[in-house]
Amino acid sequence: MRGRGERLEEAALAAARDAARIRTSRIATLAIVGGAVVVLFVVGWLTTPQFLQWPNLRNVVRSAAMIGMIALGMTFITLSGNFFSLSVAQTGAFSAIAFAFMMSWGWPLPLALLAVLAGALLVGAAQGGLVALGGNPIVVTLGVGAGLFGLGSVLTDNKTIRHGNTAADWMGTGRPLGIPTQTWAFIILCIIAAIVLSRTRFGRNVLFVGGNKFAAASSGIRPSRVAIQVFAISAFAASIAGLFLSAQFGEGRLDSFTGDDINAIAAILVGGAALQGGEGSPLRTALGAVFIAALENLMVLRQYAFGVRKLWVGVAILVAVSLFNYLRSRARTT
Amino acid sequence: MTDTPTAVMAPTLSMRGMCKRFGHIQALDHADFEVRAGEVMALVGENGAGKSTLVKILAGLYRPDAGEVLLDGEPFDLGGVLKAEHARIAVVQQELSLVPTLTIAENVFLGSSRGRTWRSPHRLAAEAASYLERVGLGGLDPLRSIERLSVAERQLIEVARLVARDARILIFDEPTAALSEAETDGVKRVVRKLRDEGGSIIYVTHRLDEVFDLADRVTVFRDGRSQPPTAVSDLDVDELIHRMLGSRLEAMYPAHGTTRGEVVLSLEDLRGPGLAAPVGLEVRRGEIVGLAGQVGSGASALLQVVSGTVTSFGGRVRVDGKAVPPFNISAAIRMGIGYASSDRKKDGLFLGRKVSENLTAPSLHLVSRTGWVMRSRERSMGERIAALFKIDPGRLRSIAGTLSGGNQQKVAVGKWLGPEPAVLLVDEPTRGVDVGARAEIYGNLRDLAEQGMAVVFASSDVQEILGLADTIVTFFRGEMVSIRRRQDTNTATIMREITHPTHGEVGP
Repeated sequence: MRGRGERLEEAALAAARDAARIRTSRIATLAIVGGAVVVLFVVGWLTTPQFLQWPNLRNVVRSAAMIGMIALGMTFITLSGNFFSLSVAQTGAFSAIAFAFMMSWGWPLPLALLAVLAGALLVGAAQGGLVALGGNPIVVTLGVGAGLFGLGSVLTDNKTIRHGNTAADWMGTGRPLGIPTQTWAFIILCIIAAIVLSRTRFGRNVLFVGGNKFAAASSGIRPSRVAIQVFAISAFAASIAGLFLSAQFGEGRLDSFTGDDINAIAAILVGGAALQGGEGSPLRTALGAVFIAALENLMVLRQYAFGVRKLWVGVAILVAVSLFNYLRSRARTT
Repeated sequence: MTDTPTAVMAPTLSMRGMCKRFGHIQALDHADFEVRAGEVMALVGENGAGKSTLVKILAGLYRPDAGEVLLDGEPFDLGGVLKAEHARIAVVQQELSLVPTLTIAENVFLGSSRGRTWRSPHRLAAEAASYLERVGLGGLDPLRSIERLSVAERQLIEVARLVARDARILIFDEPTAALSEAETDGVKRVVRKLRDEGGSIIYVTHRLDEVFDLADRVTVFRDGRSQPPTAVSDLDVDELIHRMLGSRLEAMYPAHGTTRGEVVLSLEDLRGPGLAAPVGLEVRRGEIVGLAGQVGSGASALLQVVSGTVTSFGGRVRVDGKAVPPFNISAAIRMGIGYASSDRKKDGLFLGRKVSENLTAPSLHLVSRTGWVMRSRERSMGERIAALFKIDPGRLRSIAGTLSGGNQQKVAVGKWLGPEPAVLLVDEPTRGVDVGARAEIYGNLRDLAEQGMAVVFASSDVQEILGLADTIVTFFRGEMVSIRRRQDTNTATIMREITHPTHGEVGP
């Protein structure tokens, strides 16, 4: 029989190997997402000359920013184990409409911004509240999204609301240091999200609730409060995207974010966040958004039809989800 | 085959030198096991002794690393569920594997590959009736849905299902763990009947009274090794316990406490789900209170109510005289109650996160300032707990899910040192924990008590109760039976009180 010390030593070694493997898989996930973005850009550069030209690249980073801001907010929902929000596109569009109305009524810019963002926080928190009461997040957000769309349709009579107010022009079209304002906002939000998640008590609570809701509750964390917070954050982020869009085009339209909810979900999944929650990062979501935006742009340049573009986004989601699930299951089994 | 005694004695199933290793744990270490036709062979041992590994090998779920299986004297390869079925070996599942929406008859023939594909419900019912008769459920209408049946009845239908599939080696894996006394009798009757019909019964149990009541022979497992099978008539309870625990019995538990401070936790007429009668109890500083009881006895339920995990139906919990609001975990934590549940994987640990994060989870408010987690404070709290609970500080940055069961349990209990509670509640402190880590956990709990904490733990293991607790509270079917000082009770008394107390014993 072998000595007890020997057994323990062996146990420690095995455990260290396991830990190293899980760490490796997290780094691997980031490397895969980053690598996919690089490969896509190389393919674009080789096949489509205008893809890497600055005016086009500016479009890519602008649309990556719009998808990315929505996706960053939604990442908190996914990390907390509440899957996704299907009301973000409607929240963004409704925010754009509300902002257009307020500007056309001559409200001062800061007041209009604050009013829209505060409204979005409330709508988001209300959805979180319904989820906290036991509602399925997908169903709740689907319902609220439909409601917002209907309300927007009634208010605008399905017309585009133009405000022609130049005060917000810079916000939508300015390019400090040659980079669009949207992209600046996206980068800043990404950094804030990363810091909040890794350094604050709130971020820890989100990861705990997503990792194990029951263990979080028994540690005195309230999953219902976290649900309210993450849905408020998601609506807030979608609303910021709506404000930028409204400022950029000087208008508010009900169909302005059509398809962007799926794009945001795609960004989160391509970024390798775990569907069951507790695992993922804002940085990877941001890279996922760049990937999806670049993919869409490349396909538009190559004159793919709308349906074909959606098909490839779907393929990207399926490949990413399968690959990351495989990596995670390999990391967890001995 | 001739009718000589040697032929009768030849084992139906015999396993020699079975080995099975999981990572760094040797679950089975050259274990031998056998069962004859027409006998009940009890299989006993502590948690982690290798019993369930052996059962899973028999069921074809695990493949042994080494060892030989003989069926009627012939070598037999047990790889795979179908092979096990072919050998007519069947396990009566602990987690019931019936389909609640089907009828009794349909469940009896569930998964049966023999017979015609299409049978009318009445034909099926008629065929099922004979099997139901054999397990003592002849009175049930086979066309009823099983939804309204009791756990015991469902278990017997599971047995009927296996009998219908012609199983001759039946493995009962703790069949009575979730049953009441009357229901247990029904299961025992069926076990005896199947034995008398010539079946080979392997009976895995933690309840030693059942061994003496039911089994012909017993095999004891300890640390993955087997001891030679012994006729039950040659044994008594003390000898059996000694064989299960070996020389560890004394070395396992720390010395009992000496100091008792003032009352810190008091329960006044507390009622809640799983408690059939109001509970009143006082716990003092420096004291370890053991709540003894079987599954469903109310011992675990009481801890859940006190911790605020489930709602209370009335009564009051006081810590240092202050009333704790019911069904409010964060308030309970703030007022000095820590609770480690019996299922650390379900609600004790964040298996995907670092050990250090797990250790500070209940005390995030203490390691953060204005919402920011202070890394230095977090690190020092993690190191402090690791030192107290003998968790390797090098593992603080490891993912909690990669730790062994014993170390996971230390994290699940140790994290409650952070908020420095006045009362620590622990449900089944050593479930799924190997022997070495067990002794350490007992030592840790005693140290905490010596430092002035009040510790209340629930356990279905009488040795653990006697070894660790200063005050012993027994529970039976949701009611408190007695409160006694440890020196005023013994194994037999506790055993009786948690299995079939007679009336008039209630009270300290």
